[in-house]
Amino acid sequence: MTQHIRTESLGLPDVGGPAQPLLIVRDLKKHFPVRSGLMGKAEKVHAVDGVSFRIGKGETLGIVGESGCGKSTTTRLLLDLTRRDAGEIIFDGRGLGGGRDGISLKELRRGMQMVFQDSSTSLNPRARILDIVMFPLRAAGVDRTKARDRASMLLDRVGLHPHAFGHRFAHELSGGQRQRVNIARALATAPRLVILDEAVSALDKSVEADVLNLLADLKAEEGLTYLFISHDLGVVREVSDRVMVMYLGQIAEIGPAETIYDRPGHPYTRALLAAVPSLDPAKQIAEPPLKGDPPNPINPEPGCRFRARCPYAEGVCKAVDPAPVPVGEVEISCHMCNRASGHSQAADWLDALTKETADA
Amino acid sequence: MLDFTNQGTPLLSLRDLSVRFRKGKGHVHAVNGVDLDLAPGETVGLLGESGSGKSITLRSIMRLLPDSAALGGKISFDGQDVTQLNRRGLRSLRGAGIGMVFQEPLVAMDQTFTVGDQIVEAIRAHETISRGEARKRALELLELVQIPSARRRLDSFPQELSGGMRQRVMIAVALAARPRLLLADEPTTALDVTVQIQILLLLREIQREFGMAMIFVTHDIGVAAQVSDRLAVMYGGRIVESGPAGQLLAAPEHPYAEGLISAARGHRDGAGRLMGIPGRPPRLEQAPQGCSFAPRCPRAIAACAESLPKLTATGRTDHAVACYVPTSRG
Repeated sequence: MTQHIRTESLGLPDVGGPAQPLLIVRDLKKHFPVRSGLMGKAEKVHAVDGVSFRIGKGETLGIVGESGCGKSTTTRLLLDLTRRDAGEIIFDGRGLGGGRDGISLKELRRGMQMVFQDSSTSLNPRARILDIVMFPLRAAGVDRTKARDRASMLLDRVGLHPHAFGHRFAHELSGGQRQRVNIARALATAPRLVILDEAVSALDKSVEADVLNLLADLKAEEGLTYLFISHDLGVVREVSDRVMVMYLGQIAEIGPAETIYDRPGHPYTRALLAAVPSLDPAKQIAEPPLKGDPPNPINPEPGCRFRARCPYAEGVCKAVDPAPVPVGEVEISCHMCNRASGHSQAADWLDALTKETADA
Repeated sequence: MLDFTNQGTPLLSLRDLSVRFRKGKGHVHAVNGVDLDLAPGETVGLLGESGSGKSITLRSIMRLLPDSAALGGKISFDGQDVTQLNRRGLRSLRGAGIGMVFQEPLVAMDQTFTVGDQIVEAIRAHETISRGEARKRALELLELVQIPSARRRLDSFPQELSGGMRQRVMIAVALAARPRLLLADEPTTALDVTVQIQILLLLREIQREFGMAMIFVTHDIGVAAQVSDRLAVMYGGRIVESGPAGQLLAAPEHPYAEGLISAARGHRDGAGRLMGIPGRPPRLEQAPQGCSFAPRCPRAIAACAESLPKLTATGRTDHAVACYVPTSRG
């Protein structure tokens, strides 16, 4: 009988019930000041610019987008590793910094933990594996004996036998084993939401599958909720219930993973997916779906962020910021997905999209 | 002696290539007997995971190995034995015969020189032409690698460029002396997928246009499929399977290649679990006695641990596998 990681003494209780989203984020913003050149004028990178989403309990939300789209900044804002400029963060119905009924940062960090990309720096090279997993428990005030027992149990749960691995150092482990230690450490204080930021990106494909299977097991057995960020679009499809596509600090499209991958509604999502090389040499890509590098979100002009690279851009795209519109279960921020937007192709685009949905 | 006027003669030929590093009191056997032929104008994708020896194999062709490395076997390029070249010979090989692009252009390029100067240097290292003439060629090269406002970019420094643009500049530098072979070591791994495909298509276009041969090292099967005529899969410092890209990906013969391809396709087993390859990569302290994959192999028989299976023709066109129990005979 495996021991549960969830424990009343450490984790946060479920106060909102199953219908309450575990995390609600409203209009999150972060603008970093930059100066271009020595005498250049002060500008602002709109790293995250009005991002709103929710994650249901037990759900995995994947985030994809090119570098600079704001996916990693978003996760840092959630944990307050970077201070947000604006926006609400509501965990299990309780707002961060929301007065008497709110949740404190300390509590929030007990409820949310993060696993980063494995690197030689993610684990203390001088500490033994068991001590690494014990550390957050000791910091939370758990006594030494209990912390040791729990750390052993956690190592066991991530597939590392505590007697064989507990006394080892990080450099004696393979990449996959190190990432298991990172997972055990993140789970030590019984979080309910685990943010996986490129957590399997440094692993070889043959090893990656085992770590993804482990994450799936832990999620099922412990009722965890995941926020999964990766540049690997294939992996995100494998693990996510819902997917959020980001472009230059904003959400282009968010909805069920299957729908987004099979019938992307935003022209950016289409281009992004079309850029992934196929394993079938007969399906080689002949033309790059997008030209140039992703631009910087420095002092963006009003209108759609994607319009400079979008083959369908029109006047309305320059004049008006596209608001998210529901198309089935997906929310898409594109004027072509809004019949009333005035975009000349809106009707055709939406008809084609809904026809694809009906055919599926 | 090879007769390189013959049509069927490879441009590059590796025979029993081995690379061993000193490490502490022991050794790392990184490459353990690689045989590979590359025809003029052909692109081979050298596919493997970390520690498979793919990058070391590539670097040994240019003799870009640290002093702690012991190189064995034969490397012939265009009829000459690369392992016997002196300093001068190597200089003309690097650049004029063979160009190379790396994963991280910022590390590979000198940041105190402008883009134009780097290309001019590369041209003048192999040709006696005036600076003005070389600068004109540098501009043509930047246009060839499709850098927008190329003339202005000649005076930019590498760190002022975006990742994709830097990679294009590095390709321009590698092409400066019109090499007949381009070695590419994961040149798109650090790039976004949208930029990666631009670079892959550019390399393919240039490679075809100039009839240049290419070895493209990658861990990404999709990327390998996009650029390669032929694939060679490496494991434990050896090529375990090679064949035409489409044929190998559709029906791999080696159990490792099979496992790797199903992992990359996100295949799941009957219980709905993603299929990886259990076990861990081989330790390289010893030269392999038997097949390095045997400890992880679901099909291993006694013979696998006893002797090294040689790369043997499978009967399918241009296809070879180093396995005692290949799929088609299972």
